[in-house]
Amino acid sequence: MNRLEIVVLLAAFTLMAFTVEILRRRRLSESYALLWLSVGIGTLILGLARPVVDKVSAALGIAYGTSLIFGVGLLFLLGVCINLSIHVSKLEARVEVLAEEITLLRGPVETDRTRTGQGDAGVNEIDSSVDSLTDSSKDVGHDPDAMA
Amino acid sequence: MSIARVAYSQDVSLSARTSTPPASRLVKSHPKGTVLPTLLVIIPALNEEQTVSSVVRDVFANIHADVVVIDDGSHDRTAAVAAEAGAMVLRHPFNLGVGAALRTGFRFAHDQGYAMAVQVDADGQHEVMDVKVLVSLVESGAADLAVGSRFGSDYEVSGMRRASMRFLSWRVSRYLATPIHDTTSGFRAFSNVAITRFARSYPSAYLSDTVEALLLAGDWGLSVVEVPVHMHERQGGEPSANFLRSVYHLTRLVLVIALHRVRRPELTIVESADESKSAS
Repeated sequence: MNRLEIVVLLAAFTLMAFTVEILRRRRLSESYALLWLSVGIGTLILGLARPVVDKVSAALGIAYGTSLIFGVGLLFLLGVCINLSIHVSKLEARVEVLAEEITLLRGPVETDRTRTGQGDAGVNEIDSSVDSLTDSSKDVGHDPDAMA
Repeated sequence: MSIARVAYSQDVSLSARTSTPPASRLVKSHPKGTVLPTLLVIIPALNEEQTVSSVVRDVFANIHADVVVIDDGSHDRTAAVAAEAGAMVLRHPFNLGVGAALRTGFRFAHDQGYAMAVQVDADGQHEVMDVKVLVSLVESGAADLAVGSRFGSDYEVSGMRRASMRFLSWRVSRYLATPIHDTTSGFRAFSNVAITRFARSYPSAYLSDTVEALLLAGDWGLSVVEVPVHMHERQGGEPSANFLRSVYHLTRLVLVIALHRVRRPELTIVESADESKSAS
């Protein structure tokens, strides 16, 4: 085992250990953990099977095996980026729908004017606690300041 | 807010309001004067307009229970059909998966103060009379989580599916120290303790909702009991059977099981009902 192989081995194991750790802390979903774990395994195989890499690159007409790994790695990362873009787009769309749902659940903003039809106290106040405000609005109705 | 509340009390199918106190449980099918059911039948449904109605009516005809259908973002008339059959209907804004639908069901059951809950499929493959068997186990205190096993009848699976079910069964049985043959069964009854626990944390990923939930039950010291139940042919819908997909799901499940003991618990959900109670 030469020095390069040891470095590759360490890198792959570090990647896999890190993946498992953030999975353990529930900061990563299982599907992405599987992706990065398989990248780790792939790195192991490519790093330790140099003759196979050289043969495949020769068959593809690539002079250096390293170039093949760079090329494949680049394409793979491109694929991951596109996948993440798709995922983020979906999440964006969902957040919009959720915000709309909450807007509809909140319902129209109520003011003292819309509720009692008199007085303009607290017109711009957003109704946060319906029950308490409904009671106090009766009091406001008898308040001379509110009547003015 | 008050407008929304009025609308909710008129039509329970509109939306779930967690701020609704348990006293005002709103059920169409039980006239005033009768004893309110302590059992909630939770039916997760996705595009099941063909079958969900008969399942709901079947439950009402045979069991003293309330029924809530969790419409998980259906594109057909599932929600309307279920509501017409007399069920309460809660709708997800988009498809979230069976696990999330169940969690919604557990949260609803918890907020509304049900003592027991039963999970039944909307496709009609579960025999409604077996609900009584599962519920009696929970009611007597014999189980916090009663699992209906499809292997009780002539349920046959073959090939890789059989091998993976055997593996899951072996692993889960060992973890719980009690034999569970059908770890992926979606026919289950839950005690009040189980409802409370699962309302806070329930795995939403496909297959995790059944298998990982069993492991969680073990962690929490809930008693799990399996009983054989009858199975019907699916009245509608298609079984999911993509090979690569099932390989992926199984691999993911192996990862989940392998790491389960050392993993941090899933993020717990704030209990909104208790909060609103203390606030008012």
